[in-house]
Parts: sequence; C-alpha cells; structure tokens
Amino acid sequence: MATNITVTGRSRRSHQITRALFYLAVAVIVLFCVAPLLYVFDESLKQTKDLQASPPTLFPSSLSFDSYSRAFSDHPTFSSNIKNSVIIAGSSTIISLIFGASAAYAIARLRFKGRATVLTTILGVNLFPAIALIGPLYIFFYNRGWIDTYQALIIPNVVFTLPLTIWILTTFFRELPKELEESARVDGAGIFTTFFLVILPLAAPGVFTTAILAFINAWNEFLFAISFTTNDNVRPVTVGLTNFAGGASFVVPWGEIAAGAIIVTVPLIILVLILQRRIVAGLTAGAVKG
Amino acid sequence: MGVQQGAEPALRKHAGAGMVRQEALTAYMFVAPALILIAAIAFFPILQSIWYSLTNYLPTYPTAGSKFVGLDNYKTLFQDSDFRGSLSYTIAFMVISVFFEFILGLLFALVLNQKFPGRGFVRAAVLVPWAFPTVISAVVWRDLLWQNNTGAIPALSHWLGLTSADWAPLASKGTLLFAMLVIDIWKTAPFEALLLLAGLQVIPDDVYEAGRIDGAGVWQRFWFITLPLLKPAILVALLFRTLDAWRAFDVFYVVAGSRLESVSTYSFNQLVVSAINFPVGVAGSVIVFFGAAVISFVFIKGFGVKTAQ
Repeated sequence: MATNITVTGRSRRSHQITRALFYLAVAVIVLFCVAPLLYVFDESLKQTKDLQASPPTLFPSSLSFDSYSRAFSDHPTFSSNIKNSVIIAGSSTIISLIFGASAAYAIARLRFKGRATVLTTILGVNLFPAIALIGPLYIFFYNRGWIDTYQALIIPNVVFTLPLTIWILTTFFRELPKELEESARVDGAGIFTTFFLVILPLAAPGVFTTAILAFINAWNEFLFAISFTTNDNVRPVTVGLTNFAGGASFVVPWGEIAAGAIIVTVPLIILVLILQRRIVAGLTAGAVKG
Repeated sequence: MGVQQGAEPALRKHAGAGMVRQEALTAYMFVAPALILIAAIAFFPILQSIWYSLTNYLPTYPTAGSKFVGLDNYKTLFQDSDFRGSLSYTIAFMVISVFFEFILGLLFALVLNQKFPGRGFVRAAVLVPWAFPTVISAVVWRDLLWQNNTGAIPALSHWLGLTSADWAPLASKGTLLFAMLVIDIWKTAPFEALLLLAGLQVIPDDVYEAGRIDGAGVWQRFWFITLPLLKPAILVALLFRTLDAWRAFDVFYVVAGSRLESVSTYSFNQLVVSAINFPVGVAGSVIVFFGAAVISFVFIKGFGVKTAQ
C-alpha cells in the first residue's frame, strides 16, 4: 500500500512537471511567433528620441502617433501605394476567380479524360520560379509601353493566384454534398445552371476564403512590382515601404517603417485571425490528403 | 491525393453515352479558359526565357539585333565569381533553412496537436508570421531587429553577454546570412507547423492506442507510428520549402542587396538593374527554373510525393 501511494505521488508530480514544461513550450511558440510583431507595434508608438536610443528601450517613454502621420506626410506616395496594392491585388483576385471557379468545378465534379493531367499542369505552375518569367514579360511590357501600368503587375500576379485559386476551390467543391447537385440535374437543370445556381451559392464561404488567400498572395508580391515599375506613384505598397529607408536622409526612419508595416499588415492579420479555421483548411488541403 | 478515377461506376452505367460525352464537353469548356491563360502567361514565357538565354538580344537596345549565341551566356555566367558565389549562398541558405524549419515546424506541430485550453488562440498566433508579407518582414527585421546600433537583437545579445556592444550583425557576410536565415525561419517555420499539424490530425487515435497496448513507449510511438504516417505531409511541406528557399528573392534583396546574392537576386541585378547584361540575367533565371525542376523531380519521382489528385 505504502509503495503504491509513493508511486502515485511521484507520478502526479512528474505529471505536473510535464504539464509545466508543456505550457512553457506553448509560451515559447507564441512568443516566437508574435514577439516581432509586438516589438514593431511598440516601435511605431515611440517618439524620435526613444527610437534613436542605443541600446533600444523596451517601452515608449510616452505614447506618440507621430510616426503614423509621418508615414504619410514624409512619404507622399505611401497612400497611393496602398491604393495601388488594393487595385492590383483586387483585380488579380477577381480575374483568378472568374477563370478559376469553372475550372475547379470541372476538376472536382465532372468526368472527363485527362482530368489528372489538367490538374497537374495547373499545379505545376506553382513550381515555377517568378524570376524565370521576368525577362520575356519585361520585353513584352516594355515593347507595348506597359511599364508603370497596373496591367503589367496584374497579369503576372495571375500566374500564381490562378493555380492557387483553382487548387483551393477544387478542394472546397469536393466537400459539397453531391445530393443537391444530383437532384438539380434530375429536375432537368443543365451543368451550367447547376454550377451557377446551385454550386456557386453553396460554395460561397469557400469562394470567399479562396478570394482572401489569392488577395494576400497578390498583396505580398514584390519581384514583379520592382521589375515592371519605375514610378513610385504606380508602385504597390510592398515596394513603397521598402523605399522608406532610401531617402536623402542618412537617418533610417525607424518609426515610420514600423508604423507603415503595422498599417500594411495589421488589417490582413485581423482578417486572417477572424477567418482562421477556414484559411487553415484551405491552405493545408494539399498536404493532408497525401 | 489519390486519383478519384472510376469513383462512380454505377452512375456511369446508368447514364447514356451521350450524357457522358456531353459532360466531358462541358468540362473541357470549363477548364479551357484557365488552361489557355496559364499557357499564355506562364508556360510560353518560360520557353521564351530559354530562347532569350541563347541569344544576345537586349530589350532596351533592340537595334543591336538578336543573334543565336548558343551557350555563350551560360559560359559568361559560370565564369562570373559573383554567380558562383550566389549558387553556394543559395544552396547553403536552402539546406540550413529547410532543415531548421522542418525541426521547428515538427516540434510546434507536435505541441499544437495536444488538447489544451487556448489551443485556438495559439493556432491563431502561429498564423501571424505567415500573414506578414515576406518583403515587409524583411524590412522590419533589417531595420528594427537586426540593425547594427539600435536593433533589438544586438542589444539583447549584448545584454545577455553573448556579444560586445558594437556587434554589427549586418556588416559581415557570415552573420548577414545568419540574420537572413533567422528571418526566413521565423516567417515559415510556423506555417510548416500548420501543414504538419494538419497531417497529424488525420492519424486516427486507435493507431496510437494499438501501439500503447503493444507496449510502445512515447519515443517508439513517435518513431514507428507518427513519422511513417506523417511522411506524405512531411514530403509535401519539404518540397515547397526547398523550392521556396532555392528561388528566394525578397529576403536577399532587402537585407543583403548586392552584397550577398541569391541566384534569383543575382539574375535580377543582371536582368533588370544592369540592362546591358540582360541575356546573362535571363540565363541565370533559367538556371533557377531548371534547379526547381530538378528539386521537384527528385521529390516526386525519388520520394514519391503526389502533387496532383
């Protein structure tokens, strides 16, 4: 009996230690992921004298939103950079959905020869390095006078958002119950009618998640943007923010970079956190069913 | 992701041959626009890149003509010590980042796979680095975290007594590569964890239960049950991580500029920045393409990754 008690006691204590170590691991993971974001946010609220402190201080001596206003006033193209990003990423997303939705439906639900080949071809584009497209696209845009236009950024973005859209939509379409579709067909609806009136409305949440992922993908694009634009007024925000430090001044505008980064990423992060479950489902669909 | 062919043989038997043919026709109409667009803006430019890498065509000086020069541009490329340097930096970056991202990603995934209060919150936190645009995370890490005098990391490392007060991590090439690796690992290890977590969650509990009954310990269950069953998810994650590291551009461009180039930033600097070296830059970008093809081939044929349904 006595030995029994000690064993339970010891195993309870070792259980508690395991538990504590486990939560320590969880804390380290969370800190690893969010600490840089919190530090950037912290920096964005500091005054200039706090920012130039060496070594850096942990907390601002007083809260200041100067960096946020200076991100716009000292960088006159920043607001148009944001607008450009919205237009470019938005257009790339819409084009990808228009071209991708029907293709994804056919791959998910219709029987035809070469279905696997079609999907492999489309997904194969994901393996392409963006740099290998720059040369010919540069020549194409240069010869047409398209350098510094929106289409010179929207077209190459679609190269990568379209396969992404098709892949994620295919997995969402597969999850829809077959019965509704079948009863629509029994009622005499053709494939087009079924697709537009039954499938698309049913898949609306999946389509929305896909749109967000395509938008984020295009919003983050950088290489095409620096290759096919020279004018700060038409550049997206990824390039705009990268150029914050490149001014005539030798002082790096830390506060403005921090504020700019917060302005550009926090709306996305909030969106991602709200749609967390669906986004993870969409992103990991490919890896799970291996 | 097995092919779902012949999934509905009963339906096929009942449906007339005409209906099957009509369904196939509609399917081709549905996929054609996307396929044509992808052929035009992705496959055709790749072929053009290969062609331009074999000529001396300069887009900004078209009057200089376009002559077929065989492999001359590739010769120039491999004679350039900057290119050979970019190759070795890229390969070092690829091997180290893929390794540490996998180890960290797997550890994170194993922790997140446990049931504990606040798991949803932790999983949300893991999405934060992924939601950061790569180039913006590079700018922020360069200017706020790694920055030589006022950055958080040199200050923290000095405070811990690891380095002297004037440690300038971005000043020497070795620590520059290290700094970029840390940025890349921060940005992508959490996402790799989510991919592996998704793989872990489809392993049924009774498999572990059976292992436990047979007397397998924690370590044995991990080694003989978890790892083999997770293999497909691991291979897909490794394939995409290896490819992304091989074609890395944003982090190198922002943090190292032309001081330390990846094959992609080297090609960009020849192709776009110095317009006169356009054909050599295109040849470099074609090397990136073929490297990516080799990596994909090794994973798909060698390790048996299935990338399509």
